[in-house]
Amino acid sequence: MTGEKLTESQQQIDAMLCRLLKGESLSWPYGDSNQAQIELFLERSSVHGVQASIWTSLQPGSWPQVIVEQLHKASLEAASWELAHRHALVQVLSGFAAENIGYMLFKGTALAYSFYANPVLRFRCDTDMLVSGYSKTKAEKLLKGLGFECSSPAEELVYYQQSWRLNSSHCGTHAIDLHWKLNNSEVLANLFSYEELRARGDEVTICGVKTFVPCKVDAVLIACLHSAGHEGIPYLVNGNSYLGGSRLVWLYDLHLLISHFSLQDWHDLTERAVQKGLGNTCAVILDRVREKFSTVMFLDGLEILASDKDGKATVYLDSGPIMRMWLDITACGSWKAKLAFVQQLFFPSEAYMRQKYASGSQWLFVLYIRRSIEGIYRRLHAN
Amino acid sequence: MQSAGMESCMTSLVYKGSFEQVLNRKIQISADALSQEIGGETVILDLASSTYFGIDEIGTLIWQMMKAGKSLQAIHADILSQYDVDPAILEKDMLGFVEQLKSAGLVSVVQNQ
Repeated sequence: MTGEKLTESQQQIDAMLCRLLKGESLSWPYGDSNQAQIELFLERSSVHGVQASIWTSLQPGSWPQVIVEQLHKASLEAASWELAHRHALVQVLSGFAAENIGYMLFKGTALAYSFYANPVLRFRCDTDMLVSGYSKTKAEKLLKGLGFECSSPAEELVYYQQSWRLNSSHCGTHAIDLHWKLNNSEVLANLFSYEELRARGDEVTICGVKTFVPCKVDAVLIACLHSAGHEGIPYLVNGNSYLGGSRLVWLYDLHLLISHFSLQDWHDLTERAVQKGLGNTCAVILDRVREKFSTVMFLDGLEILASDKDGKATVYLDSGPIMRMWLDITACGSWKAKLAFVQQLFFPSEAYMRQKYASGSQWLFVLYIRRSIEGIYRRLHAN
Repeated sequence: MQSAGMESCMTSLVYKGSFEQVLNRKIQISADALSQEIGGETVILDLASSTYFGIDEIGTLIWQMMKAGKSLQAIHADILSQYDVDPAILEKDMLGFVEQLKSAGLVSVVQNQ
């Protein structure tokens, strides 16, 4: 993992964002009329998903009016989103509890309600829920019953998640990402099972509804896995594609998590990371966190993590896209499964293609060509 | 507070009754009114009308005390003890605020204590 290549201006702005996230009192250093830097600041803070967070630590008097107004607007929008999303989420969580469907929240929403002073400060666009594979059908039925619609057809060998959307007149559109494995990669999918995460999980309460989230150590491993995964898989912000695992909202999650670590947590982290083949992946990501936020870390623990360079998951995450694909194919058990994986990867089912390209050509082969071109374009144009 | 897509609750309207008439009454927040604080301000979503409202810092203080079940009298006294403000002006502003919340359907004045 090498991290993104940034211009000097981008690096300076990112360094300012880190200092603001740490709560430092900063003034705008460029002059109110430096439009290029103002625009870059607004763009980078949006890409990094930290506008609401930095708004709360900004001293409005010493910043350009346009930045103050934009961050203020972004923080109110985030609060509005949180209200509506929480309303939708509480219905889902209550439904899962009533139907006795086991689940956990993980990533953004789980962290927002466990480690942030205010959930609004953790930018996100959806909520990730993990269920046991055995509960998937019940969970789908429940979401459907609550008015959610599945917007991603399941191709079980390639994807282990579905996006469910609720279009509500009260609250707008809200999405729940339903996972029945933690990761879509064949190599990483079985690193953690729902059952083991749930057994070690912590309880949190969201609007009176008790729910479970991964424990601190698992949350760090999942966050490292997620960040490292984006070294090879682009993410979208405001319609633009970005590649890399150094998005500040993710690294700041890790800063908050690690800040709550005890020595025992470090011991558990090193042991579990090495056992999962994630040692060096965690070391690289945590080193970035330390560099960005001066997070206090147990250096012996980092050394142990860094020495585990040959873990299966680390080798996978350090690989380029073609090697990742190859490793995923080899991770499929039987030859039949390998062939089915390749077929679904390159030639998904006709139903999937027709749904994805509803307004496209009637000829299926044209749709496959279009899908290939789009995939290549997205990768080439990721920032 | 003024913001795109939101309505302000902090304009000065005069409450239809006198301050004494509502002073000891408890303000009940509607079950449809969901609120979220951010940076000292509060955003309220009224599920009944699908409308968002924004309230400023003083409005947020009053809103939080209402949520905690305090009467207007107790809120008035609390704010006077924290801020250097003319009691009559605060009274007028509080009545205006409650009237705004009431006409938006976000609260109701429920009982004598």
